[in-house]
Amino acid sequence: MTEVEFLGARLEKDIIGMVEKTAEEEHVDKTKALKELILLGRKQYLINKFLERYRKGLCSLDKCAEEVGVSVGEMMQEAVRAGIRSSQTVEEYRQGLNLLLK
Amino acid sequence: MKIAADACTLILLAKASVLEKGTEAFKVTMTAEVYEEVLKGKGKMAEDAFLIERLEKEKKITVVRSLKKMTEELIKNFEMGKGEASVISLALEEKGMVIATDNRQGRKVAKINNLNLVGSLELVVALFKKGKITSEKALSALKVLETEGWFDDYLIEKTKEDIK
Repeated sequence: MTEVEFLGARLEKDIIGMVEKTAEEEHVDKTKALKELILLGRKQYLINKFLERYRKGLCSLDKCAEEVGVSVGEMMQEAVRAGIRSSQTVEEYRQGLNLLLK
Repeated sequence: MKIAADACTLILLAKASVLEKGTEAFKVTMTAEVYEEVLKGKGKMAEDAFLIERLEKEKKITVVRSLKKMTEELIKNFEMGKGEASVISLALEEKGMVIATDNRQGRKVAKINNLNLVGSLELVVALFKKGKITSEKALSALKVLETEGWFDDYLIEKTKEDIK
């Protein structure tokens, strides 16, 4: 069983409202709802952080996937959703094609 | 021609339903690290992962080992994942090897090292030019790459011109 600890935090009313609404929608208690929201938020935070690094050419996409904890396929979908485009040029495409047709 | 593909390109070609034809036209290899990355997709029931697993079992795609030390250096120096780094490492080790990657970082490192580099788009067009797939199949594959990939519209248009 995972060890649990108490964490006190001051939250704005609207955030508490979000937790309560999630608990109600998912028919779970507020603790479980809060945990789910934190996990999802953390995942999205990591996706954004590493996609930005990828966009800037600071890391590879499989590195992003490793760090976020998703598959490469899922990370590719996230990159496409974030509007990240390939850096490939027409000249590179032509060179690649010529190489394959040699 | 021997091609070492990374996970991104294998996944894209599998989604575009041309990977198996690709293995008929070229000797396609992947490193053990790339294979491990691809298989993670099975957890999400990704069809591409199951297809690549089948092609590996049927020996249509071979799994090879890269030099561990070189792979680790690339991981450290270029912030690459194990898969991407192992593909570059393999090409540095084996002269004449062609790298297939659509990954920005992988392409950058391949260019720095003057390695033979191709991407999914030219692989689809080459399969058409070699008579392995029909023009209809090539165009439908490019359509998939257009939606599933991150290729610029002008690049997709250029590739479509080559199918005519």
